[in-house]
Amino acid sequence: MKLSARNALQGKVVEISKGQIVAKVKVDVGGQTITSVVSVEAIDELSLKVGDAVSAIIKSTEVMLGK
Amino acid sequence: MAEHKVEALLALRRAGRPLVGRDRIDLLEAVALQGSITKAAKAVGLSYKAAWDALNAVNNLLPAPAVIGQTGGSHGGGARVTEEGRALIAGFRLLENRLDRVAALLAGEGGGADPLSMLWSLGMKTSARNVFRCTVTEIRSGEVSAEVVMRLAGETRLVAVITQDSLRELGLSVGGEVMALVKSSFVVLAAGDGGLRFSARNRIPGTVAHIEDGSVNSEVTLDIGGGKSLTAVITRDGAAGLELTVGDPALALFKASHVILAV
Repeated sequence: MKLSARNALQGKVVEISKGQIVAKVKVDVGGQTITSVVSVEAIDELSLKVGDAVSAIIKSTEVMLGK
Repeated sequence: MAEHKVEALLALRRAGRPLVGRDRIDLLEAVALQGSITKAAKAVGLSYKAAWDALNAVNNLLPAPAVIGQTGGSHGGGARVTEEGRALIAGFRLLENRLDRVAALLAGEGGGADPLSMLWSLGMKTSARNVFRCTVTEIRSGEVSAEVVMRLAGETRLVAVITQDSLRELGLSVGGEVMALVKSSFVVLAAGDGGLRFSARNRIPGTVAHIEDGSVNSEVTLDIGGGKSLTAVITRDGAAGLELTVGDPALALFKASHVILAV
């Protein structure tokens, strides 16, 4: 399956903190950490756990630049 | 103005008092313009007596008078439209304009009118390209966030994550109707085979109905069934990578947190 999103960074889940509705997932991407907030239901659906290989998918329009 | 245009007529009335409709508001506006009841009556083709009665009806509508006349014998003196009167004119014209839009929808000019979107047309329009009328099927609450599951069409579900405060303010409840808004730039498209699974809660299948290429972006519209469509704006590179052509199946993905709810 191909995606329109221009950014798919390969990484590994290093931390999952679940709330009631949403969860914070930290992904190590080549030594840098990307934080994702997804719903708890999505975590359960994907059976996501620490150590899993995942892609952090980010639409190019969602990337803010700083200089 | 088209000859067969459907018009909606607006009339205001305080309990038991005469109706104030367009003719009387036209007269009030003429008074504001002419500064005299005599001249205003003439401008709208009424006798002085009829104009006076009509303006009395308008004055009876509001807690404070809309027009203050200086009695000036049989021909009447000057007359002044108050702030309240001017607000009444402006409010009436605005309501008339919105009513006309609803009338146009009812008459089929807007196509597929439903009551909620008709009411919406009374109020604001938004830049969000994807606006869906949904029925709330499930609400789950956390401390800060709440998850709202909605039926979009047939079996297609939409999920939104909003704050608890928003949930309260919107007064959402299961079975209620809600408008779900998704900016087209929030939508990621997926195509082709393969077992990729996503955390994105909204995964709407459709078929490509239209592709519009710009220099940087492409706008892709999917037919998602039930007469509904969903528009995604993706980069042109992204669109090329998907090798989409009209009629191809594709999946629209967007996060629940990217769905705005409105009532």
